[in-house]
Amino acid sequence: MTPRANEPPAVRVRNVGLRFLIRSHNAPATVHSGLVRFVKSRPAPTEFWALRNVSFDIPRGSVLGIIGSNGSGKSTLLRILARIYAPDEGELHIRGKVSSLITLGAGFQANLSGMENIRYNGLLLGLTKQEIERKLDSIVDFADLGEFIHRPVRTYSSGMRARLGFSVAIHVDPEILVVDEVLVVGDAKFRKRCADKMKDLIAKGATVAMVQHNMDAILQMCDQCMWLEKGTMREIGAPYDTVKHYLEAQGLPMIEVPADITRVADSPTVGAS
Amino acid sequence: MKLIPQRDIDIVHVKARDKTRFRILDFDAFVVETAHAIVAFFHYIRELWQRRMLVRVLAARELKSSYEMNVVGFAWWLLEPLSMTAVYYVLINILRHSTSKDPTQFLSILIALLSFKWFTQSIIGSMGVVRANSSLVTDVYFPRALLPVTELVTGLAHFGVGLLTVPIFMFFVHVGPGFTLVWLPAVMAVQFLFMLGLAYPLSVWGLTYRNLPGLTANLLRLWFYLSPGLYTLAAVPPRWRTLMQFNPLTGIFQGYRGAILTHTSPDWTLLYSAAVGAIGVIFGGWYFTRREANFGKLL
Repeated sequence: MTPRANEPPAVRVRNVGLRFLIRSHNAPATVHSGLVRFVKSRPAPTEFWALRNVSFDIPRGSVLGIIGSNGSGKSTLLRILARIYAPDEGELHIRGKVSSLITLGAGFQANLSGMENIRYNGLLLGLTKQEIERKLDSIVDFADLGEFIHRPVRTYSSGMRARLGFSVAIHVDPEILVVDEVLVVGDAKFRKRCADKMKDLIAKGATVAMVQHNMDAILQMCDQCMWLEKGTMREIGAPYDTVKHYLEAQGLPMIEVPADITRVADSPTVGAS
Repeated sequence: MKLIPQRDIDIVHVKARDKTRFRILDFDAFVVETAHAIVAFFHYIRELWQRRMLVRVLAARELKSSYEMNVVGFAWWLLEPLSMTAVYYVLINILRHSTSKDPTQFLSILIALLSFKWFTQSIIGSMGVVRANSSLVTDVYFPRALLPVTELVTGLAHFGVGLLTVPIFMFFVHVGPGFTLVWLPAVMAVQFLFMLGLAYPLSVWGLTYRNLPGLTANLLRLWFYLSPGLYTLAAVPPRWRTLMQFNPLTGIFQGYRGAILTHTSPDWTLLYSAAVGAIGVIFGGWYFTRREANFGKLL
């Protein structure tokens, strides 16, 4: 689905900044240390802006890819979109139900079975009880864990946990999906299915913001691409250009790929992450 | 550095299919409308209500992790208030150099102690509840105001089990159940409300100041001695009695005793406790929602 021009964007971000306060000493704050600080003013904790002056729109039904080196603020930005952090400055407008794939299987209970964890995780992600029961079969099918679905999650491998987590999160039917590099988990077959499912959601009009180190995925799935560096936007625009500039800055040449490429998640990476 | 960070951003969270409420055609007009923090607050309350099932699941999880959900586990929990009641019972009667003529004294103390146990457990627990659920708080969005509620509901489950011992003692001292038992849920609701008002700010401070629970535990104990828990309000000298009635715990303790033991309906003191609780929940809840955006960063 092409982004509709006359419709307000699903996500609108204006001059957003997020700040962490780094206290000068390492000991955890206590009641008496709070009192001491109250009586004699200590130097204020140093500020660290993990993100600053970030502005962009994501039109409904389009995909934004976010690239950048480690520590550039990608995950922080996703956490803001997922409403886990509130920005310390700027404006953020989100229209629609957000589902985040930041940590797959966040809050899984190791001692509960996969089945019980679906119900628990579904509620956490905002599904109602009835919705979970209705989608249960589909979630189990998608995770494709066989017998393991009835065993405790502590017996799962990390890949299996991720599959279950992805399966639940994707069934939330989000209008806005926030994805943090989770497509790299699982085997090639599962990755392909995840990518297909995401394309399916996008076709249905979902809006996606994703962090990716796989430049192929960016080129194939995204409508626009943002390059973050040290918490600020270095560039935002067409995926091809942004990826090219990003790779050039990393000293990596961009290998031209044919436009009609059909391989998705299991294709070899262009350049390196 | 400001104590309460100014949140001049509002996070609009509207379902696309939302039919009537907050449906404004112009996106920018919508922004203007929701810029008022009060609108956002009501929005938040609505979201809390939508996600209320989560409380049950989180509370069940906590109960399962702290006890095996079986008879032995619950019996073990009863041991503490019962032994505590015995300690206080003996202590009081030694201090008085004679045993009380009132045969229901033990029961009277037990009821207050059960209620107080719910109180302390929930308040102390709520100070650590955000940290205890840190993996959820840093990775999933849900209204964090549900977390202190979870703590209170967990305590309520224990309290309910504790109350099951009360009929046994009622049988021994020949006190039958009265129609005033219908007030019991009301008194519990008032206590819940009052605790929630305290739990909201304390859960914020407990996240920042790690040694707060230890201090609070002692303050709560002092509060208990200054409330008619180990003694009844009637035993208090008249000139202190009026003052003591302004202690919100007074109405609650007396309410429980009235409903179970003395078959009297609650008086204005319970209403007063409810009012204090409601004010606490509104201001405490407001404060909590202003601070919760920082929880992810503090963990």
